[in-house]
Amino acid sequence: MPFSFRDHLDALNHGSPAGKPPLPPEVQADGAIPDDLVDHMLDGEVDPQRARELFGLIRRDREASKRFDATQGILRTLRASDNETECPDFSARVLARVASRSGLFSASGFRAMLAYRYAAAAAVLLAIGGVFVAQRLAPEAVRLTPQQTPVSRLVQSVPTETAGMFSGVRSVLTSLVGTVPSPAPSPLAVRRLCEMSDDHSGSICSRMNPPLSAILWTDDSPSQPRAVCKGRRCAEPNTRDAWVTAGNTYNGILLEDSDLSSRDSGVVFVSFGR
Amino acid sequence: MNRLEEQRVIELAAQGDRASADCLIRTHQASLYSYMVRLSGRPDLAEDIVQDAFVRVLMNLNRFDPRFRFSTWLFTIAKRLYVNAMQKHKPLYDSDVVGAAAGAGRSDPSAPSMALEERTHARECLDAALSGLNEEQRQIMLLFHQQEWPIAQIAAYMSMPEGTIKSHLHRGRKKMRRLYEEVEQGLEAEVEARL
Repeated sequence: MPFSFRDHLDALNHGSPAGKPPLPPEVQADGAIPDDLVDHMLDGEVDPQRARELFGLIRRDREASKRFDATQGILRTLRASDNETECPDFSARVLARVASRSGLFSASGFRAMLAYRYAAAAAVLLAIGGVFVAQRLAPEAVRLTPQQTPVSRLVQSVPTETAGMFSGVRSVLTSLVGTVPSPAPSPLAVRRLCEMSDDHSGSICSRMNPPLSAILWTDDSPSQPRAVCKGRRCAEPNTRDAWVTAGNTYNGILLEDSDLSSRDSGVVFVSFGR
Repeated sequence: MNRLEEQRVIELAAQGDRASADCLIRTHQASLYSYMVRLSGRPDLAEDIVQDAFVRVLMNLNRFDPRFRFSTWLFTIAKRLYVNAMQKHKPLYDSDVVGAAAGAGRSDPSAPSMALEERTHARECLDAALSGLNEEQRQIMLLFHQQEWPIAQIAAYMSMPEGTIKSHLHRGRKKMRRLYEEVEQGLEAEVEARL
């Protein structure tokens, strides 16, 4: 059990027990009381019985008694000064500052706030309970999907459910498509001779439909935006071995790989519309 | 108020209950103010610190860790504010001001003048002795002997081992006793010189 300093003083005030107590082992041979022992007592680390014994010993040692009384007097003044200090009332000032920053409730306001919280929680619980009961009593009334198929008929239910889901998604997408304007045609679109990335400068343009591979290339100078179709299978008439000029539309220019001359291999690239 | 009751009051205050916040302030204001007056030596500064400390505590009640004592938390926040204030302003320990604050409003005109004089004299010596201690010793002396905190709580508050607290306490008591006697002798010599 904790033993406070005040308990010590109470114990000491009862005075030394009758008779001379035996000297504790810590007491020096000449009967002087070591300061450490007194400090332990003042720290409240000595039980009341032992404190009384020590007090009796201190009274026998004139110097120790003087020091002990002086220390006790100072500590008594220290405690008394605590009781004498007039403390202003901080409550109103502090609460006003706190209320202006975060909001405090008066007793009635706090009760109202608590009641509101409980009511909100009860309403949520009631709603959940209500849905549960309604599901039990009238399942049709609370059905969220238009048609539910028992699990036992899973095979039949899958296409139905999937179709329903997709039709829902489609309707949403349709409505979205209706609201989003279609993008304006890109000025580069008409210049494309086959599928390629937007930045097709220096890239190979090939096309597999019709299944013959098609390759267009220009010379290696990006400053001359033109391409040439070489070979026998250029589909467009009058474009065979002719320069293809950027800005014109050439549909289905085809070229077989075998038509490439050895001279042209390795420098095949396209640079249109730049 | 025991710790369980205090915990309940803290919870209510954290939810915004004005009455509980008021209860917390009234329970701790006197001890904190008294401690701050003795620590700083300036009642005006102590007043500002106590007020700011309570505002901060009440604004952050949801952060309070119930494993610790509320008073330890409150005093720690007040100490930080005190340290900040001391960094801004030069420390001033005005024992006349402290003595006046300690006795303000409490002096009973009907009390025998001799007893009153003795008390004033003792307070002057005490303030002078306290001002002679270093910051840590003064805090520990005040917390143990004035606020009656257990050594374990002081150790938690000061972030020091209990053994170090005891050492400070022992040295502080010796030093206070020596300073007190010196001041007492000085005052007595002054009185004799006047006579």
